[in-house]
Amino acid sequence: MMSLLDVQGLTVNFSTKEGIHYVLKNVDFNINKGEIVGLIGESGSGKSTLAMTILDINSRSREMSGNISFSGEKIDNIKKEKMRQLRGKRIGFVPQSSMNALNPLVKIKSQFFESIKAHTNMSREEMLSLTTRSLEMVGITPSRMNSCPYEFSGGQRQRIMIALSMLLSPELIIADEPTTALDATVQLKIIELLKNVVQQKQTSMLVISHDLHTISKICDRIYIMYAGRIVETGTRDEILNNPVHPYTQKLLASRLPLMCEPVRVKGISGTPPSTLKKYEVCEFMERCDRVSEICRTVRPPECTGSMKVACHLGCNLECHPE
Amino acid sequence: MDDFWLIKIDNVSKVFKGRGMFRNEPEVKALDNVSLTVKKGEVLGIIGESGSGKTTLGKLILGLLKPTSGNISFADINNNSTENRKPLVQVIFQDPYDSLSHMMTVEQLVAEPCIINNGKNVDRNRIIRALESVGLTPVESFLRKYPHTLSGGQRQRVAIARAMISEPDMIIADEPISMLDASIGVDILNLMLDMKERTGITFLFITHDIAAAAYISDNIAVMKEGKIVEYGSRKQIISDCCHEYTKSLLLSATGAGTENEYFCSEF
Repeated sequence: MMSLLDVQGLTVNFSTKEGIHYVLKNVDFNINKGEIVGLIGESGSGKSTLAMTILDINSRSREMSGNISFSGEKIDNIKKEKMRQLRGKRIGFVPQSSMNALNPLVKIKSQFFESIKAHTNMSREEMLSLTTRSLEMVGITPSRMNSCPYEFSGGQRQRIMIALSMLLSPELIIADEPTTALDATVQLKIIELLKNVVQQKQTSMLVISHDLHTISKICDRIYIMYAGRIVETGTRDEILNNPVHPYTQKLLASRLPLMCEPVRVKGISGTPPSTLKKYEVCEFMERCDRVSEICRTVRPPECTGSMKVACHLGCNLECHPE
Repeated sequence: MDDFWLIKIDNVSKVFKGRGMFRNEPEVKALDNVSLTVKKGEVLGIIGESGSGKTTLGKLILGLLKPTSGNISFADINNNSTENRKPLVQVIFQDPYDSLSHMMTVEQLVAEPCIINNGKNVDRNRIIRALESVGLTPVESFLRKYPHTLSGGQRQRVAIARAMISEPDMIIADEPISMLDASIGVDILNLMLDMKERTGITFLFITHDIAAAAYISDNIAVMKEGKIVEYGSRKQIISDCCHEYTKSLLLSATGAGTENEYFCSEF
């Protein structure tokens, strides 16, 4: 099966006053049709940069190499105008803190019409019925489309944002931290909503988050990102039940249990690596407690092709099962 | 245990009057006859969704807001001295990206509460000790840094050091981990637990995440629409809660049945 989005060997650097930030390092990544893919990593690991690079909305002082193709077409280095036609129509985007992404002083209806007008030549009636349908889909009463965003709660605004990104039935939706900054109960509703919307509209979705536990409920496949590199990939069950990379294991272990007896959970000690530094060996070495001799000298394998874990440990397990 | 209360909240209500441009906005009853006792040395978790009044309660205790009706009384503390004093209360805010001034170094930020309380001369060792206690080591490398060069977890640690330096009797932590990554949030919670064990400080932990509250709190109060709908020890709240709302919170934390085995295996 041909994949809808295929990213190969993507490397992105940003040059700033402080020096060169190495943000993405040789990222291989693909999304198949109808699939929900999760991209998990801590803040600063480059998840949002990956999303923005796919959409080409971070081109200032960026150097990139590698290939991005969307349903067979190469979309890196295409003309700005062509990219504009792609965004919104074929790739939908739910930005981070999407609660603030709506213009607070413009009616919901006008904001929906604006993005319809940008891509199609619909009549007013058609636009109205499309807006009504997409608001209904996310459980917002269509009669409220004449309200301004500030009249809605955070969770409602998030749902409006999802409706807006789905409006023209794009083939791919990129949702950047769709549940962060929402209440626990609302988070669950948004997650369910995303899943339903994907099933109804038969699209693919990329969900970006730092919260492995919340997001993993809806993902078919998961990529774990650390310091700009994909460190582990696999199906949902593989990642949740049989994580190999020490970072994935620690992420899973840092879940807060709901127990009545006091227990201690260990977080991940140490600080996230700096993007300014170029690492010759494994980026996770400083925070890993299973460092062996080989880690100090040899770079771990890249998570590309059939390789599923970027760690010497995983390699050993696969090559010499004990 | 009733002798060891630190703060008693008696039938407190707080109404925000509609003061809109056209004077016709409705009143908002943020707190409705809330009574709560904070015991000395406990971690009291307050859970509720946004708009349930949990932050208002924190602000009332801090004195940032005045209650519309009801009383908040503070216990007298006598630490081997002749004079009684009232408890010192400090606060850690939700967003470490906004709560620290961008124009001050870590040293200035941590020294500020001391300067306000004791005047100009600040013992530099005290600042170093405070930063060490929150795990920002080596301290020397952090003193001259500005908040924008720190990660979210480190900033929250600075905020905790800032709250701890005046040796308060109680800290109100208003959603201290909601802006942080899950793995970093756990470290912050562990730090708070360590501090409680080391110094016997009282924490009021405000959160919307029942798992986080259950992890750190001794007692938990559940708030909804300005009322406390349930109060009990951690064990009571988690294993046999009575209120529907608490049950729905627990359900959303355990993943609506999908991962129930996780949850059930403990009882």
